[in-house]
Amino acid sequence: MWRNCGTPVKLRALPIAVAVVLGACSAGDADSRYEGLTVPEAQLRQVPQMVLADTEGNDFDLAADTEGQVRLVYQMFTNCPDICGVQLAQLSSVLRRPGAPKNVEVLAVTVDPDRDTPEVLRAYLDQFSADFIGLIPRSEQQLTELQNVLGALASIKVFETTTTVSDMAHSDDTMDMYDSMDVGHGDVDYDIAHDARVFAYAPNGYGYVQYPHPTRQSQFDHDLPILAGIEPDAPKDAGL
Amino acid sequence: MRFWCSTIEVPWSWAWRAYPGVWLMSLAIAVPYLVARRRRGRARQPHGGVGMRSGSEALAAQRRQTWLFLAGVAAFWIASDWPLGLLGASYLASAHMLQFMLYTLVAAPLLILGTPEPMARRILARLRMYRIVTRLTKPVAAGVVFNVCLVATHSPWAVDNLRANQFGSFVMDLIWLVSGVLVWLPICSPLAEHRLRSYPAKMVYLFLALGVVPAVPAGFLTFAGFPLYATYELAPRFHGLDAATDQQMAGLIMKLGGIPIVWGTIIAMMMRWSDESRASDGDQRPAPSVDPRTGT
Repeated sequence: MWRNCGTPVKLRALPIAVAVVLGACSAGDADSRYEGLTVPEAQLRQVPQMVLADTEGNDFDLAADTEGQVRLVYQMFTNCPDICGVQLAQLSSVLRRPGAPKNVEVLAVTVDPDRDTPEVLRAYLDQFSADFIGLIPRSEQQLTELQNVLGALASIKVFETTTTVSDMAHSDDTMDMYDSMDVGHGDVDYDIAHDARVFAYAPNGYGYVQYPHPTRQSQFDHDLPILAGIEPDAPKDAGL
Repeated sequence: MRFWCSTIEVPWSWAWRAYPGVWLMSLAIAVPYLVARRRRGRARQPHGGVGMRSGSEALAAQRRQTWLFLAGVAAFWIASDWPLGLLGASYLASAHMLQFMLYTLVAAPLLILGTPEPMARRILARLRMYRIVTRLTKPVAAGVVFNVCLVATHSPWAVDNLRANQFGSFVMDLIWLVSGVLVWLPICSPLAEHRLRSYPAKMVYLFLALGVVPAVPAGFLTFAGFPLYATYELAPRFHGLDAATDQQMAGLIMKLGGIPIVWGTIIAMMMRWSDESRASDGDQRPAPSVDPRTGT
């Protein structure tokens, strides 16, 4: 039922959930090599081994097609009103700087495959960098699976409706109301609340660090050479 | 609705936003001035002209002063209100810098030039600020205060913290206006005792106070490796302009934007100095001798 709640309730709930998740990571530790949020060793995950569609319509294997690279996986959508554009602009600026590591791939995964067609996604990403790889999940299920593997919060559609929680409590058939919105055909205006972290994986496949919004360019610039310097066959503790 | 422009976290839109605090402040400057001028104009009418000037000359000078003052208020309003005020408070470091230039190099000198001497004396007397203003208008004090304000209000800490809320943003704008007025007083104060006497001193002062120190923060902004201000770095992008380019533009505005005004004023002073020197040379030249035969 919560998916049908009014916008304000959902948007208030998300930062709390993000704070809980980020509590597992540590930022600004004296011991940490990174300026982003360091993932504790016990919670380290590897780059998802999943095949999504790229903006050319081809299969793209997140792990195999980026072997030996630093992967910066970022969930976004082209109608995103604020954070997505800022994070992508930050990455674009940092990677354009002289001396930025070359073995870095930005994998921008849309959380809005209904509206973000390959052409729309490509045109959006080209505003930041033609080198950014746009990826589209094949299904809602695959998107959910990807978010689980990343350890990301599930994205939530937020509808432009005046419905409030009290309205919902008095509704006899809330699920019917949700279904009647014709979700995913571009007829309904909606926003998407999503996890705005950049998940950074070193060339050895481990995701040692994450970057929530807001992250300064100087923080990315500090960490990326460290991640890029980790050898593809390095052991798990090489990036700790 | 907000009182004053401050940082907001929504994407830029050209949809108009109301900032009643800016209107109130503009009115608070303009209305008392106009009322005082009107009263003074009425009081003078029965006596005709003032001093050496004829009535029409005095009236023209008074009108000119009023227009200068109102132009100063307009510059203040443009710098503070939507869209420039909001862009400067929330989106672009270059807009923030443009605001600074408008406050200190346009609004402040125009407000001073538009203020008649009796009004300035009345204001200072009523606020009991004559002595402190006299001290602060000493060239070294005025230059130091202005440049300390300039450096302090362009530090990342000040920008990121003050711009984040309406009151802080208002304080920052007020500091700019007041320090701008202060730095121009030794050049064009309505009170003769606050002005530097000689043209060379005025020119050197203007160059040092407004032309030298601003180049330092401008250099930092232009050549910094990363965006210095989190406010503008993390703001939704304005028409795709990236934060580094925006900051470089801000640095260039600070470095080059003042040149036309500072150097224009210096050139104007040189010309006036030259004219006055020529006129005084003419006065001192001995009168042509009279031919006793012709009487001419």
